[in-house]
Amino acid sequence: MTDLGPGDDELIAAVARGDQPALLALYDRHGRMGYGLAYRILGDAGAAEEAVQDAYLRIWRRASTFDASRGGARSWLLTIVHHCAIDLLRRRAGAPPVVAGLDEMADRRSVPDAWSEVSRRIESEQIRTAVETLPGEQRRAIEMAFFDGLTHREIAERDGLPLGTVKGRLRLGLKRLSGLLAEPAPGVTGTAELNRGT
Amino acid sequence: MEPNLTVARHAATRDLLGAFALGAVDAEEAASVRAHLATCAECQAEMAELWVAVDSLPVMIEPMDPPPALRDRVAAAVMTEAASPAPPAIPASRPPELAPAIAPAPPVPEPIHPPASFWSRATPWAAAAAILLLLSAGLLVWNLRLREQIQQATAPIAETIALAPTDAAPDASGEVTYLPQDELLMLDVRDLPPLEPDQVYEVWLIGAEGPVPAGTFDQPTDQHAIVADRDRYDTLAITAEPGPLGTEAPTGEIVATASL
Repeated sequence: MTDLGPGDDELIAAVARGDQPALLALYDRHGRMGYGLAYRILGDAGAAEEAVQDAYLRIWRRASTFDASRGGARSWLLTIVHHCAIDLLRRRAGAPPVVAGLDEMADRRSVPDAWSEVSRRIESEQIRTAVETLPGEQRRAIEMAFFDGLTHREIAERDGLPLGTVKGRLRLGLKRLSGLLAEPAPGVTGTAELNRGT
Repeated sequence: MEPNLTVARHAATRDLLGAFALGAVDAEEAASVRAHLATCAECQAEMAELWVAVDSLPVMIEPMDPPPALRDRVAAAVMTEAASPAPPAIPASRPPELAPAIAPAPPVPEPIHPPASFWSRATPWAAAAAILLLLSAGLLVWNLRLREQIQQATAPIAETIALAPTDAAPDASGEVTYLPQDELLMLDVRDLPPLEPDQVYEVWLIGAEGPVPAGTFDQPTDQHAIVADRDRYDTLAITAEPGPLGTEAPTGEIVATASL
């Protein structure tokens, strides 16, 4: 019933008007990805379910803040699941919440078309290949931040590294990843240099 | 600002952009990055690039099938919130595990609860839904827009099932009305036994996977709406449970039941 129905943007707009079936249609479309992500972060089914339920309630409340010019619907939905999962992970560990990511939309400004296009076409296999291409220390730092919910200070403490080193690995690793994803031929390894098409 | 200071701030902020994009900064650092980003086109351009990488990370994870009951819990949580006229004042209407995530939400200018005012949104569809609900089960504080425009023309066939009292609550009565096209169960209960202090009534939908929580209320005579596919459940039951949030699994005696 929902497969050939309205697009994600339209569904989110309907949710903002209080349309509950529209929210469930979004869940039917993206729930598997969200649950997979929450499970990867939390490592157990019960907690992953709790995070996904939190996330969809948050989507319900914040649908009116969604702005398609600042990023795609899929990214927005998954960002919310990610935040809820990390929030739960840190709560369970007794760590203070990471406040920086609480607003999924406000920090985003209009994304230049070139990058927006890159975001739309990247697929899971291409991302896995690109991430594997990253230098190990950059990949590790990114994964500790994204999947383990650690701040750059916590990563530095855990790995006994200077703060500047961790900040550099996170930033340069992400830049390199974006560069790899922007390359026209997905899956080609060994061309890790940034190329923004200038 | 002095040029050197500006350059230093730019360099320091730029170094933090990766951590910021990953949410791996503390509140003070985040505020500092946001303030700088508002005025620095170069860092804005870099952030756009970094977001692409961060947005890609969830996509590399293999999707997994969530348990089917999760969909019902999502529906029940949203339905409960939608039915709550003033959510912050009625904590009982929130599932327990959601409360911590709600607490730190920052104030935003937009309405956080889009469906807060049903009556203020007098769209034709909402009005049609309202008439339907009123005819079927009396007044519900409930924000529902019908699923698709096509369904507007033909009213779904509502089916009403009597609610049966139990030995624990011989005076209880009421009905469950099911609207198949909207997968909506509307519960209208009367004269439930009084609650102990700190208790709430909790609704359960019982199917092959056991009881699934479907919302709470705290008045012996009340209406309650549940989004659910009736075919997946055999029985609806109501118990008294510890409030204000209810429980994940029933612990109290059943005070009323309906065979679905």
